[in-house]
Amino acid sequence: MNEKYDEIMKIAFQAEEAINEEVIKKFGVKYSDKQILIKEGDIQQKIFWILKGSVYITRKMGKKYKVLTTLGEGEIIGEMSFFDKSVRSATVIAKGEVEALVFKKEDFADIFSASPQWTKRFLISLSKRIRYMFEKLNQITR
Amino acid sequence: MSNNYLQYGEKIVVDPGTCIYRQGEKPEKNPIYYIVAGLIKIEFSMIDSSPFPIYLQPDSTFGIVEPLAECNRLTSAFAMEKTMLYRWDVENFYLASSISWELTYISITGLTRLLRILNAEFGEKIGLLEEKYR
Repeated sequence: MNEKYDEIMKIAFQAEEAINEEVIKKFGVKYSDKQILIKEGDIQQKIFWILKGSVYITRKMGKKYKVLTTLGEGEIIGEMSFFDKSVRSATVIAKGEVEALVFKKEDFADIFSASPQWTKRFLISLSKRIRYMFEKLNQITR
Repeated sequence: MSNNYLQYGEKIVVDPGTCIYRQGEKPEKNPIYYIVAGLIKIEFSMIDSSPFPIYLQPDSTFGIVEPLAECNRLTSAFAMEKTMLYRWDVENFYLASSISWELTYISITGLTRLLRILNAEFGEKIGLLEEKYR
């Protein structure tokens, strides 16, 4: 097994506890304020796990970006086009300094197949986001 | 597709028209469903609009959001044909999905598709869609 595979397995089985310097060195990416992580319309099979800071989820309207929501530490982003074969539906912009783990599809499949923890975490994260969207939709239709 | 994930729960068969759960209900015993055969209609109503239907076919999961996000049912679910379902409680669903990437993948894809629909609805409501698409 190569070193990268070992790191993936470590993340899978230990989740947050496994995020050490080594993991950050391999998968970590730093973004500066206003830097774009994901661009609307792109096809990009990467998923981001925000470790530090927060990001704006935006949609472009003319020459400006409209902020739909802000996501922060511990959030996983980019999963929709990652799993659902769609183009990126939003632009994600760093709000200040941001540090994230960035996984490619092949890395993530390994993590999921190895870890019930990740499965649970990810399904809960998506479910909460869906609940939030239902609530937002109900608010704006009142 | 092998169905090795259809374990730790129970198989049920429902008649056409059966309401599996209704919007606003508290999910008792937190069941999560997988469609083995048949057709399910998921319906959600916003305050100012008529019910919005989504049809789900075999090899789809539903009813995941509420037990995991700990809320009352956000949608209603109805059987449109005689339908065979597989049902887990939350813990057994985690168990089944932990041994099957396929079940995990099906569940995640189901959720991302729903989220995509909600995002599109939201985008339309707040005027993000351009005039040419209306």
